[in-house]
Amino acid sequence: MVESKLSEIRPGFEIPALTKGPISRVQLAKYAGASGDFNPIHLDDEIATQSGVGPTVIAHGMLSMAFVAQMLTDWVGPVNLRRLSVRFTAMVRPGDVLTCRGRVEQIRTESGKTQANCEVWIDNQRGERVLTGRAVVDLPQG
Amino acid sequence: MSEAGTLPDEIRALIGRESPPVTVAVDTEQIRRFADAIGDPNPLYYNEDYARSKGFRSIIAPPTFLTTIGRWPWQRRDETLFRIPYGRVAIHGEQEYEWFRPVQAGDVITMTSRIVDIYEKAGRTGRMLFVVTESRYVNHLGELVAIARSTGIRR
Repeated sequence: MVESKLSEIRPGFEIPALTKGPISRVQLAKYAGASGDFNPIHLDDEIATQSGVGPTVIAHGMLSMAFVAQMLTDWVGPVNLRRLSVRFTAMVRPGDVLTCRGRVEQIRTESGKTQANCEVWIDNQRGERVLTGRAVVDLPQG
Repeated sequence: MSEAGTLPDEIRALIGRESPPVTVAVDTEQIRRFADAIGDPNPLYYNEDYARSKGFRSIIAPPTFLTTIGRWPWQRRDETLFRIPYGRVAIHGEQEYEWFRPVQAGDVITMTSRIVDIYEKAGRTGRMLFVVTESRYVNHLGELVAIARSTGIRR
């Protein structure tokens, strides 16, 4: 985080990208164990296939959201992330490499606080968009 | 968008249903395990001295750590409360968080969840049911930590 520069952010600014992966089955197991989300579509190929999301397990959507949140907190710091809303637009599978990106769309100052509205997204290694979203971050001035 | 009129009464009746509060004590190891699982090396999530030097009571949790609260069977008081008799698979469609302050190790977080909307849509693979749940998280100091809105899709 380079706080001194946050006051100079302008619309159109591209948030430093973050690449995660390749996603491994071990990471999905670790995420299940850490989050408590043991839905078998993330852990068991056979059940994933029977459930219609096969032929392999799919990653937890919340893991992708955590990646986008990390891109934002790497940029502004964890306490300055105010809002994040995402839509999971394609399934993520073991082996996928995910690149998180974002762009500042609008800067607004309200009651002395400056915030940036951002568009965020994740593309996989084939250029398919697996997540789209919007974020609001505080931009500390000074 | 909403075609609630076609929904069976037993499903429509779930709108507004609220879960009993779930209270969870957050410790350093839960936070570190979660940060490690998402692969985020930020020292605020691991190093207590560093986090204290930045003005926190202890290490803080990554923003989406809140998703872990209420997930475990022993934290839920009534398994059947949000059970929805529709489709054979549920996937996560959308998620939103608004954060007011970070979760810190040592916090005791209370979550209250409520189903705020249910609607049906025709999709590529047939009809799908969208269930929107809102959760509020409050810490042991009575401070609002975050509000989450989650959309699950059943088909």
